[in-house]
Amino acid sequence: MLPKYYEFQHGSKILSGLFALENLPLELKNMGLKAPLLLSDRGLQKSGALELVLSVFKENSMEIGCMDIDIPADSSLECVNKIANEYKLYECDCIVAVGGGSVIDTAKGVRMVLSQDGSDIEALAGCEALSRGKAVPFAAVPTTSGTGSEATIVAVIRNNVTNVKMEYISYYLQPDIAVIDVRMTETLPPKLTASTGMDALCHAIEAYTCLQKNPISDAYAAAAIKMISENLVKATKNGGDKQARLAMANGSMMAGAAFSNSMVGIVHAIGHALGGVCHVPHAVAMAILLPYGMEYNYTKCGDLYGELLLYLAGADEYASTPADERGKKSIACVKKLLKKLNSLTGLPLKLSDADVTREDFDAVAQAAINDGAMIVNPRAAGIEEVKSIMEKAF
Amino acid sequence: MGTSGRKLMRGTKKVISSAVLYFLYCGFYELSKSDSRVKAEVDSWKQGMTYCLTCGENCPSLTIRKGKNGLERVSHVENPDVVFAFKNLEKAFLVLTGRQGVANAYASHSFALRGDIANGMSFARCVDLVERYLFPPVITNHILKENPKKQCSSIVLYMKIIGGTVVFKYKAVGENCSKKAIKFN
Repeated sequence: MLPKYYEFQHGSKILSGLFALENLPLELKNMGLKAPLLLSDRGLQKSGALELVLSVFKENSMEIGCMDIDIPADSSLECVNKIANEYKLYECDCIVAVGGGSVIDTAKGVRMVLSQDGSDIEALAGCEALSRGKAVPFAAVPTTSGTGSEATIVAVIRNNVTNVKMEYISYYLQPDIAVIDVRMTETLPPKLTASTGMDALCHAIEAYTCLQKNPISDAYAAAAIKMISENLVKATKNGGDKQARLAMANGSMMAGAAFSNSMVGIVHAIGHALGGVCHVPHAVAMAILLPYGMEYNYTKCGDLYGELLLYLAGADEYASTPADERGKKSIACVKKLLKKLNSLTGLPLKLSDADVTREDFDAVAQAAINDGAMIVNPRAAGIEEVKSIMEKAF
Repeated sequence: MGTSGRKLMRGTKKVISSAVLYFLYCGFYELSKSDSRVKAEVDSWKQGMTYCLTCGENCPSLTIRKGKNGLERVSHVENPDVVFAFKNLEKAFLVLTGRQGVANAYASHSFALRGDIANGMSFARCVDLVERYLFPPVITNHILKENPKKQCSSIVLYMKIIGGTVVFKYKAVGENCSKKAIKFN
């Protein structure tokens, strides 16, 4: 059924596939840009991915205006404010973010501060409350296939004082260019491939079932689920499988575009809280919580889960399963996939395996009900319900 | 509908919105004393916390502050902590007349939120609870994800609101500039 009203935006130019990275300098030059601020992290420096990016810029005679590769695993308000100052100091004219969710979200935060002529990102918190402001061109080069941040209007940035991951939602956060190049993801270790892939799957499943869903986000979500289901195990087993890597990167991007326009629900609300309180890596939290979140929401969106069986398990499985059993079968499919990834990589299946203790439950539940994702979850949840989900996942 | 009809309709909607915002505050105020869930939410707010709900440019608004003696309605504050700004009167009217809940209003991009989203979530939960008391079940069944259990009767709440109105209990504090539009940067 069509929603009475919906909005959808996916304005990023996608450069996907063979030598996509080599096209980036020209794209920036075509936009009249000369001095990018390059953001990345130390891990990518070690893996050689950053060196490849720098070589591409050098070969195309484009100088880097400034480079910051000290971005932490969880981006923070202080980090964003510091980099915004660097951008001004070195007179950069655009941002290129090479990394996972933290690096790209940091870049979004920096863009937000600069476009609004601000100095403190904390003052810009909100949802759809910003105007476009000054143009700060922005290209994202994802190095994981999970966050989908290269396609989203959302940034999650940690407040180190309150230990809360703050959400920023604005249509002006979406990158202008997203570069999907398998050379950026092929060194991703199997366990990270597995967890980030589950994060992407979670984006797509929640996007398909949350209150803000719409026909276009559904199309993106369904295509993403199919691509991820067919390729996640392959990419985890064999990181050199370029086809599987490219499919995962595209699936992740499409899942990002889907949830960017329909938002995510209770799995993400609890996941953000687990990250803020217990420092559980976001993708690991998503992998653990997804089936339990689906079970919780089953009474409200079992039929929608049933529709997803086609993309999760394929046409034969879908056709041979009675309509009223498809929803449950979808949840079983997700559990089966998780078990497979666990056997391949040791990906945690329970919160207790991710250093969460029962003493953390109250703080996590309190943070989860205050997370913006909770409002679009199809089923209401308070502190007790969140704790009950965590208990099942413990 | 012609221009004058539309103008008349808009004027009527503004008057109704203004009245509903007043009753929303009254319900909020009373429930912050009698409903443990609303009370707990308000207790969790910092002292002086301000929430503003605006119905669009040049439209009615409601600003609530946590004062020393509990909630108070204020006519205007310079920089509220959290602003729910409906994008236009029509969108606000759907919510204020019980045809759309806060969650669905968010899902259909009816309002922008300025300030910490976590604080906004607390306010949104309170609005759901207040609506549960102010609107009949035939409406709340439709607009709320679930119908939370009432801790006192809606009739008692209405009586308190009527009594409070008669003695000007809910009078706004501060200068009268409730029509000031909240503009984003």
